[in-house]
Amino acid sequence: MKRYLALIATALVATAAAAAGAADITTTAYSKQVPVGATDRVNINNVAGSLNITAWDRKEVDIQGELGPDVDRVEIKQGEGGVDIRVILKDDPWNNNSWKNVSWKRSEADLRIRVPAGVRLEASTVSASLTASGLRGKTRLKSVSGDVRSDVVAPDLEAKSVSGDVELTGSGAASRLRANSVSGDVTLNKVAGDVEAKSVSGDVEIQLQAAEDVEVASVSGDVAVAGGLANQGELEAESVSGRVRITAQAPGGYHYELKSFSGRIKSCLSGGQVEDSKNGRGGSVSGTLGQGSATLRVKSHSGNVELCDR
Amino acid sequence: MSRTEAPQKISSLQELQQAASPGRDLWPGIEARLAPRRRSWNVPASIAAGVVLVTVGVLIGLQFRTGASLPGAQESGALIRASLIDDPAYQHQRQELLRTLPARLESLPPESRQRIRDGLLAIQTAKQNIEAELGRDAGNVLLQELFVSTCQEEIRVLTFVGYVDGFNQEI
Repeated sequence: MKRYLALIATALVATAAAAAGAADITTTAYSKQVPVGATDRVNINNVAGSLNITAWDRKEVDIQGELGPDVDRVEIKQGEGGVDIRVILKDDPWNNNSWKNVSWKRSEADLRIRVPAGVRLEASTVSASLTASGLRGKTRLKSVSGDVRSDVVAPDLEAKSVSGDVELTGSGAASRLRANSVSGDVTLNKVAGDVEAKSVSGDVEIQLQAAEDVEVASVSGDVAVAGGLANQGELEAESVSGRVRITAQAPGGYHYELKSFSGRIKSCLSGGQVEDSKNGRGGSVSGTLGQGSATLRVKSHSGNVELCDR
Repeated sequence: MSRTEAPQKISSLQELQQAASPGRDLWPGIEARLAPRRRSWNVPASIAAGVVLVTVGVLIGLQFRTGASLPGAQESGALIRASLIDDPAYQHQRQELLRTLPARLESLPPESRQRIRDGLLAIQTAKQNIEAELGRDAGNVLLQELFVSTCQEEIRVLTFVGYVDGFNQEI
């Protein structure tokens, strides 16, 4: 019992110390407005902290935020056709080729940026979380280790992260979406149109709404796709060793092809049309639901494959 | 005491040494041997990645044109895989991306470097597993497709490292 009490006391002391350390870091308020065209290019780079981008109806970029003590400045370059906004650290790790001296907490810049809804936006962060909403122009969001989150209003949206999660939430309107991560999870909610989602070791989870062309892949992560395909929609899902689970509907039914080299193929279709793979492991199963207007293909090496319609 | 062993007959790719996992982490050694080459890689690496993706794309197109049900599919499948493995342009560009990888990784925070290494290791393991199965069943179209798409995924990640490094490029 004494041992647990000692552990709790140690944890409390450590928490208090951390809080005190964090409290020592003073931030500087930052505020700036820059005129920009309604469909101009806007590039934003931040290192650590957070980057929150929202759309508004003014032809102006509004930057508000708090800068940590290791942030040297926010550099703003206005050029033909756009504006570039970049957080510069005092000890720039990019120039020094070293991240050893970077104090992430002291290098944080928490930025809240409003941009015209129709701009072509490209936003990058290193460890800062990145969120965007209401953007209607071509949008590119990327982070090294931060999470990337956005609603889907833009007709063309790409979101990428190395180790952070990527989460996009649509409203069922068709868009061209590309969501990639190396080790983070990729989650797409209520998306439609032309959709691509890939991760190496993270899980990929997608909720579709009348999607037309869907490509989803993972090397070792699990894949789960649920929702509706358009009448002539196509869905291709693939994983090497992760489990693939599809729950799909389409107005005119769909033709399906399920293949796994050594994983089990399993169905939970209401009509029971899909037979489980022979001998429990590996095989190929194909068939048609309804008129077979849409197409569904699933491939795996050793991961199990499961197809359901509800 | 040592003795000279007679060469073993190889009947499948699985028996080749390339399927064996390295006994230790090779990255530190690779990084140490390669001088830092920051920044200068970006444009060549992008071009290289583009060439590799086109090569892989052509091979995939070729693969889909063959089909499993056609006569000689097994030979075609083996040929396609061999084409990808042995294709000088693909291998050259892939090797170039791998060669410049340590320097590019150096420009990323340590935690992210490790994640990318883990991701590439997962891809390498997947490729080796599929290749081992292909050694036993060379005409399996599913395995061929998975092998090619896993190669594509590897290139995507290798290119991705450059993509994030481009963070610091002058705008």
